[in-house]
Amino acid sequence: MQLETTVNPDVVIITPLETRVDAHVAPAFRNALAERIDQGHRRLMVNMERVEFIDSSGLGALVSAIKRIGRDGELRVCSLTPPVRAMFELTRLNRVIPIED
Amino acid sequence: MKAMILAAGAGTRVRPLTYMVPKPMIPLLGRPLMEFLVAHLRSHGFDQIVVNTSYMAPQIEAYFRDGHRFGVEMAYSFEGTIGDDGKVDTRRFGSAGGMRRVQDFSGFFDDTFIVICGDALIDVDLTKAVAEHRAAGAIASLIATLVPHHDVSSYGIVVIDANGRIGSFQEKPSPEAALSRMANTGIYIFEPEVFDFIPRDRSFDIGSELFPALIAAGAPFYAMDMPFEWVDIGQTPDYYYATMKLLRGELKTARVPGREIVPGIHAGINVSLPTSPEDRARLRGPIWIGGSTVIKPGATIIGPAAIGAGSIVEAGAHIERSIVWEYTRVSGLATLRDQIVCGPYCVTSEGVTVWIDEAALRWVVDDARRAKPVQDEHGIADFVAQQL
Repeated sequence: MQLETTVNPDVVIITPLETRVDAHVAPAFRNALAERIDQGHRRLMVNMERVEFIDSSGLGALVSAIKRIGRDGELRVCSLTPPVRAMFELTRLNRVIPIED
Repeated sequence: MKAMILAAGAGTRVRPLTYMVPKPMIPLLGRPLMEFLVAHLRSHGFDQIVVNTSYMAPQIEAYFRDGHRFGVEMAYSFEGTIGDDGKVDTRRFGSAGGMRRVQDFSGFFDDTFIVICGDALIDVDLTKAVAEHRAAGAIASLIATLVPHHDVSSYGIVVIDANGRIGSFQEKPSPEAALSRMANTGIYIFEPEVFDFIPRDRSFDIGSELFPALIAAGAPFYAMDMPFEWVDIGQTPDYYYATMKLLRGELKTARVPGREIVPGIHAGINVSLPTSPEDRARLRGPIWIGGSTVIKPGATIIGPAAIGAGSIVEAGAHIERSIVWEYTRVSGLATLRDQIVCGPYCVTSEGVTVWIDEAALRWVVDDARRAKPVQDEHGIADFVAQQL
């Protein structure tokens, strides 16, 4: 899975470069997020601007990253395309994952 | 009198609804759009109705049959053939070509007749329209209505003189090019002489071919600007907003069916609602619930909302300003806000579609008839439940 990672002092910005985050790439997405977290990064921003489609497994990768970060960190998402925003709303993840423009 | 309903189109601008039903069968609180139209035609004395069908034709034909149940006589002009392999090969004749085909078949149209699109709700005074058409000596008339300037590109636009005679017709012009705001509503009145302008053996469209031909020939072709309620389902969001209006009691052409079992909630028969005051307080009208649907204790529904027949709304579900089609299971993990759920599709009021199967979201919304509810395999449901 293609990802772009920008390390800032206060936050790591992870931008999936795939238009589809589905069962084919979700395991790699999950591992990539876990790797950043295990490197010690605790504040993650996942930039979803390229993602036109995400399925349950893709959302599950975000959830497992949040669990991995634990209470002393945070995962946020930004730049949701309309279909991805719809997925967050249908599953209520919009109420538990901070979403930024 | 005789009428023809145009019902052969594939309704591509109303996808994904038209992946499930042909456009005339799109349900308004459980009743197909075309049913309202047939009732309106009947109320003005149009009791012999030919319907051209093609896309998902069996759905239309199985519902209306011979029209007996609707107090009219109906028959179909199926535009296609079935090959040796059993596959349906649809043939497109165009709207005017479809009329021609009926006429060549039996000479059905022997007097003033109406042609109307099968997918709009109207309350126009057809009796008066026919009288005006005849008084003008027209061989073709269309009923027009004013639309906002920025919407002209969705319509056929007409320019008329002081007597209502059409001088020019533009099919879906840009706002810059449009010569007026008077839009064709897809309601036509014709004399049989109109067939002189419709060629045989090729596809021919009413808006883009027949009307320009009538103008070019200087034939008596009129537009009537009649104020009436016109609920045009041009695109998917139009359907959402029309249903919301209907639920709020703002439509003249349709009423909320069923019985008002508690204030603000209309329901069909064999419906199961929670009984405790706390659970009832979670149901805020206007709500329509189709027959044989269960709303479980602990579900929240905030109107305007429509829950189709045979559905299951689980404890914990949150439905707000949404339309749920028949046989839908809304799980306790689902939030439907400004959504249409039609079969395996969730569509927002703005037309953004999520295909439930592709998104692996059957644990949120699914077919109510599935033997075993699908569980979330990705830890999302548990996580959300812990956090909220």
